[in-house]
Amino acid sequence: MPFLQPRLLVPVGVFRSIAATHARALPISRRLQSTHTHRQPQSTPNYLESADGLISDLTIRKHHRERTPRKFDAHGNELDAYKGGPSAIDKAVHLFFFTEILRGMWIVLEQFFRPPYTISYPFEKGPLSPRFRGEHALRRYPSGEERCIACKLCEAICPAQAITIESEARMDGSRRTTKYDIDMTKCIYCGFCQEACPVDAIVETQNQEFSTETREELLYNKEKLLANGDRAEAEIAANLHSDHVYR
Amino acid sequence: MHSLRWLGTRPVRRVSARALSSTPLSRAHAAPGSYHVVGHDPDVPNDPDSTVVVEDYRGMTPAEILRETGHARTDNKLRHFTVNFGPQHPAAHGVLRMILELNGEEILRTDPHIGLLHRGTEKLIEYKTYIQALPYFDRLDYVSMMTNELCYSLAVEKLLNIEVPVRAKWIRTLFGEITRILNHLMAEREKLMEFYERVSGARLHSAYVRPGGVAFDLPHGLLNDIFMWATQFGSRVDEIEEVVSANRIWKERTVGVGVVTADDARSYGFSGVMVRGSGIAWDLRKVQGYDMYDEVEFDIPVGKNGDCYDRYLCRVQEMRESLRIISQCLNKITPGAIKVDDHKLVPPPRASMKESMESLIHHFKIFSEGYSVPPGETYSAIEAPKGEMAVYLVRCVLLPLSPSSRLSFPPLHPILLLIQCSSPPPAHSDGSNRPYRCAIRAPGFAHLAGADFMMRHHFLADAVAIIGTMDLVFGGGRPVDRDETDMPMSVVRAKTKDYFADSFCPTAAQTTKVKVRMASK
Amino acid sequence: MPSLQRYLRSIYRVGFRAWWRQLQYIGDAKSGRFVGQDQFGNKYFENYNAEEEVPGRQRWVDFAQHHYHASQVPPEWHSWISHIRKDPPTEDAMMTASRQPWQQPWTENLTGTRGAYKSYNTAAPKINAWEPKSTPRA
Repeated sequence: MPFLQPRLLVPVGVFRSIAATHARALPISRRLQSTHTHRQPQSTPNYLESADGLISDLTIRKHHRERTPRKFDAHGNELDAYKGGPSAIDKAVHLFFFTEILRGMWIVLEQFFRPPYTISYPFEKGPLSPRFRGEHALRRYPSGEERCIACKLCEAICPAQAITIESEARMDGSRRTTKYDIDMTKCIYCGFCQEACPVDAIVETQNQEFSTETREELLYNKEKLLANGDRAEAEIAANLHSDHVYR
Repeated sequence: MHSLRWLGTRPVRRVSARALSSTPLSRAHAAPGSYHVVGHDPDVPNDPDSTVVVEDYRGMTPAEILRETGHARTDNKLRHFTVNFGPQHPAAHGVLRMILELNGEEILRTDPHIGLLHRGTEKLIEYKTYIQALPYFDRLDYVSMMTNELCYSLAVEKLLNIEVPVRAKWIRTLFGEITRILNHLMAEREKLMEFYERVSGARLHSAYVRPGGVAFDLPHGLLNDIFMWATQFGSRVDEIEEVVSANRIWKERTVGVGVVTADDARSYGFSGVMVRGSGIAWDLRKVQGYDMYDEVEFDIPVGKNGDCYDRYLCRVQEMRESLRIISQCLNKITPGAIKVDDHKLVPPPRASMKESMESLIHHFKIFSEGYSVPPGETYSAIEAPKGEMAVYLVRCVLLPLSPSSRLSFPPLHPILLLIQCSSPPPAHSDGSNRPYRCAIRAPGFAHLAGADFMMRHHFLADAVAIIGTMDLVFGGGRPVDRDETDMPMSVVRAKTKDYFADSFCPTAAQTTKVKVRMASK
Repeated sequence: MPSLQRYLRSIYRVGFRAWWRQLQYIGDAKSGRFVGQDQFGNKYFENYNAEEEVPGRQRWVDFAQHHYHASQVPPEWHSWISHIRKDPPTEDAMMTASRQPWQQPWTENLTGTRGAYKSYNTAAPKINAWEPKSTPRA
């Protein structure tokens, strides 16, 4: 036997050798078993030690197992494999009266009378937290001046590269964006833009009900993002405030 | 040993094997149209059986296939038929495509096809900074998000050689176990995802565990709510067990189904419940104790028979153990920092960022450029709910060493040499802020390799139970090579495993064939 | 059994008319404290009696419009109904203080209507067509 066994793609030889040995010798009912090249040696599970010591004979028969392995001690005396397990009457009672099924069905019946967990959205809504990361918005200062200074940190950190920014100096000399586009179809809502923003301009609001019928509507531009902020400013500010100690 | 396939899309291996065989060609070239002659076997007389319609023969001659199951065409007009299980089968857990060869209802062969959820994650990560790569890990195994993040974070921390604060470790341990329950149990997932949402802001893709700690501290009152949930969760598990564990229908479907022996589990590289169900007490939380797993007390449930029932019992018991760990975390968690205090690695708190110039500079550096880690490589593995999840992170490419360093004695590990030699750095270690390579070892991928032997000679309906206890999620599954993306698993497996090694003794001709195949690859 | 009790109790509390309306919209008989009404006329209720409502169902809205939609809830009340904030916006000091004079009125999600948002470029075009200018000949 060579030490180096080749890594075979095609197990041709296996089937050939086994088939040649067994195929014609075996009765038809066993033919399917003749190719168990990879079937494990059937170690009989000790069902006496399973969860409750119960297993139907049908199960054993289905898997072609021996019922119980015979065990012998050092002197050759047969040991009682059923010793310590449930008695035959116990097992018969459980088997014929469907005890475990009835116990299970009782739990199911209990569930039937419990109040359901179902929430009837949109009348009721599941709980969210102030940290929830939903639709984006661009915020303004209390004076009404837009916050974003076009530092492009959000554009740099965005793992999905969903943000596009262009900027110019305004007439008053301050630098502001001329273009702030978020492709919401690319966005993965990781919240990194919000974390990166040094002036709290780009935030993820708690709004999650902004689904659209077309993809085009999800290509947000600066006006849309500012409008989101203008509408939801009270909510955004309050929730940011309630979470600011953690950030 | 002669065979031939005239099929443009097929690999040419049979053809190349043909060139080495000594017997003359059969009627191969005369094969008409859609019929493909695969040759015939010298043991069998030259009969029409050697001409069959197109199916995947797994490299066997039709004569062998027919002989294998005793269905010579004279006996029986039935042939095995091939069924696509998935990729849209509701029991196929997303996008598993398995090609099953059935004899009636009995599965003879299973060929899982992978790559339907291949998203090029590893390649994408090579173009991301260490922070940006993090959200990709949420999306690998999308039912155990935080453990994926943890795995990646541990790898980066290992390269950075930093130790996260104790509270961060407790939080990671706590949420690691919450994730384990979330993974194992559908019923409580909603409540657990609410905890996810409260701590991170997202129910699924949390991006919470970061290199250097966790993103935010736990919100006020969360630990109390986790405690309230944990007090009732034990009875939920009891209910599940009451309904299912002793149920004879459940047992009929699971006991003795999909048996994996300990040897198989080892040789196929299984991990997690797939080895524990077979009786091997292997749990990375115990054997290498990351985070706070050294500090908590828990047991590893181990099965006996390696069948679906044992794996089910293991998972149920694992949830109880997770509950134990959670309650210990709740009791032992300490106040303190949740990130390392090196603001070159984690962003400074927002308040200080707005006040201190230095913090602002750190903030800008982290979010624009990221950070660069010392050169090196790490394979860091954790016990994810599905098994061993690991990230192999390479910081720099290993270049051939300079002659002077080769003289050093005793020979050092190349990486140590690389660190020692401050002579011109290799091409990829000049301050790059991205991993050179990030390979992800997902547990489900190895388990999928065992699908064939686990399902063999079971019924079609048992395949569902076996897939279920293999606990596959395809977001995490990664192809071994990039060119193996849509390759049948049997091919992938044969490349990496000594398949049929126990029962097979190669002849010289076959050895040659293998060599030829390897050479042509 | 408890759910049937709860159902009948709610009918008794809210009256037949309100129950019929609830049945048409929420599909369940609910009773609780009236918390407030927003600018669109949506009414908000809550019931924190653990025996009557399970967690998640404790706050609800009665939409003013027949064609109701989740986004008809304005952001302030959205925070309340999503259990983000404890107090309704009428009593929430932080929420009231955060309100700005320049804030715009809330509109519901207008997708699928003529009012749907349509993307456009906010920056000036980089490439402009050449507009030939000719000085008139003398």
